[in-house]
Amino acid sequence: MSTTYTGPLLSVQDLTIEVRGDDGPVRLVDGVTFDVHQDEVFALVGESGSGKSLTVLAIMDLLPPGVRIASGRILFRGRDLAQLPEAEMRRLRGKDLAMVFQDPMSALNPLQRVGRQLAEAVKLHASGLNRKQTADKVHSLLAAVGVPDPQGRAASYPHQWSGGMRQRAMIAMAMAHDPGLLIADEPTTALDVTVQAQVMDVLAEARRRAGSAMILITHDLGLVAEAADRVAVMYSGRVVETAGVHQLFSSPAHPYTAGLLASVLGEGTAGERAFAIPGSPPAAAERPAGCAFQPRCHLGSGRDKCTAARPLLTLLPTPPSSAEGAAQPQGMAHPDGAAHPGGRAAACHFAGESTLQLLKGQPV
Amino acid sequence: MRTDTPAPPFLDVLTIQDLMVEFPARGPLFSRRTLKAVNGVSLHVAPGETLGLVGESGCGKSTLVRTILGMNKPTAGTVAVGGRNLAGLLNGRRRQERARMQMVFQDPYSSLDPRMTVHEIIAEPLRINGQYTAAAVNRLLEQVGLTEAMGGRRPSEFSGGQRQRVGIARALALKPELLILDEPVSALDVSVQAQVINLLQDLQAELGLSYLFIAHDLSVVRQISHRVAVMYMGRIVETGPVADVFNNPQHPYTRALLSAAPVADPAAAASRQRIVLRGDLPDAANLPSGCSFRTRCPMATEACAAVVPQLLPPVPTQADFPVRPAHQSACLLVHS
Repeated sequence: MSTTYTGPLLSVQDLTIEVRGDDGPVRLVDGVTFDVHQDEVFALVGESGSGKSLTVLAIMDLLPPGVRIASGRILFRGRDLAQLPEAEMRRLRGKDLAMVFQDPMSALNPLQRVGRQLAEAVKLHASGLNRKQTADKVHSLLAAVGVPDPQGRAASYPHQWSGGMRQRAMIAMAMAHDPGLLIADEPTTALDVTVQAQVMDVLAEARRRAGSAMILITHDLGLVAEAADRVAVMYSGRVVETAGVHQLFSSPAHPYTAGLLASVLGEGTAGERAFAIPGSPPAAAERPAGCAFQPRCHLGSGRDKCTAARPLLTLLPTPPSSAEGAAQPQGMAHPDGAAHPGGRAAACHFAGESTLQLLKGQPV
Repeated sequence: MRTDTPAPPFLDVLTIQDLMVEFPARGPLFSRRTLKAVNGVSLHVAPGETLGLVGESGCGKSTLVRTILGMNKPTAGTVAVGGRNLAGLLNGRRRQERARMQMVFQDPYSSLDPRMTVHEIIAEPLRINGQYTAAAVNRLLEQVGLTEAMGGRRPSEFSGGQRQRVGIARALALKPELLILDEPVSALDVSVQAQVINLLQDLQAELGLSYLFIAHDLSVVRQISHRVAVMYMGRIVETGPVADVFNNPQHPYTRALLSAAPVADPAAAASRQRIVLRGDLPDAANLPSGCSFRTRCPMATEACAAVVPQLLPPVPTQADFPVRPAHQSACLLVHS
């Protein structure tokens, strides 16, 4: 199949996820569209409640009870995962689609030796292996993520492992069958800074070896800058901007992205007054009409267009010098016709209007 | 009012001297070991100053805070508030002295009672001390950027950033001189973190507060601190004015910590030299001999196993970036 298929590895199209609320369904994810291509690291950035985790749980078909996909397509190698029977999905999950979770302690069974849990993941999609072959595979997987003494460690329990080592074990498990797409949901948020650096290195190396694409979910713009090729910024259940990583940081088009970047603390801001986006994100049930960011926006606040109409993710002109913007994939057309997540797009009526000024610390 | 003999203004708000906190731990079989959570820490916080305390989980930060607040008994050393050693005071008097420092917790979701209104939460310390008036609570609400009307609501109706404002208002109720802020913004979203940092800086300027600001996020510490102390395995390994420590780190651990923190700039990220440390933290009940960082240190020599390095001012050098005397580090290699 993969020999003839030329579209993006993963294409999420107009995905809407709902939960039942007291006054009818609430849209937690509201028309999310993006593509992930072979070999790339695609970052989904957003604050808590922005819908980034639900989006990837929908891809894995692991949505919590009561939460369902209301509409949209999730094409993985051209096949719609949302329509796939459970048995088919089970054959993909853990094999071609793998996930690393935020908290390795709750993702591992505390009562089972780590080696046995890895063996389970190995045998799930390679039932022909005998005991010895499985053990060898487990040990080589652990060795590949830099776990010292893999034989000895495999025989111990998760509580005997440090947080960083546990996350390595989770990465080893995810990489057991060289997945085409690896999803890492805040993989280092629970870890200390120095351990985070180790684990990000291990993740990058494992991904490179297996040739997997990766969706990296994070709220940390530093990690995005270091690890990602392309980025989608989510706000209140919607993608507000997609861009190559260099473009996103140097010239954000959406005022929310610009605000996030301006509020990054660093050498330049030390001791000064930090830039802060006023207010806080709306709850999904109380999302304002039009643009969800409008009440907090320095551009849109009070403008009629922003309260009247929801801005769609729209392709923006790319400067010709930008190499990453020029690499347009020849995928399928997107539902709204205009938004092509392979390029640079923003969902703002006044995209790019004065975001740079904000970044330079000038009053807005 | 708080004390009959007010402390002279030049005294440090908080002075910690050679503090040791040990816990009994089980060793192999029936043997007993001692876990040295805080291993000879000296710190001080001046009036109106923010001291940033940086360190990874397991370094002893939390034990240090608990000991300052009197929830742990120190094995040795002293904690003095406004120059007065808390250990020497009778209980009632110690409580009075301790009201001069208040705590702001990391998680604004679990540190506020969900059944109380915000007004009641802020009123509680005032009532306990017989100082409650509704006006006082409303003034506190306003001070942290909330409105009087919000006082009637419960924490569940508030966003994370607003809840943390409530936590700060409660901490300010008894007019403390020192706030101990334990990771006060790490549970908040990026766009809200800056709001709370700005509020803390405004309150400090307005009320002359001192902060002991504990965080693992180096950019947040850099933003708000005047001085920084870096903690590793129960010891302070480096301390100094914030710009000195961040721009010219001396201790190999501080260097690794600073280099490991991701920078939100893809161009700089590509060219950056990162020091990735080997391994994990050692076992606190079985510390390595000599310098406890030597097992992970990229520069360690044999001498590091023999001597416990002391926190020392720099050796005078002819270097381009001379290290100022207030900038101290505990590393044999720095001082040899």
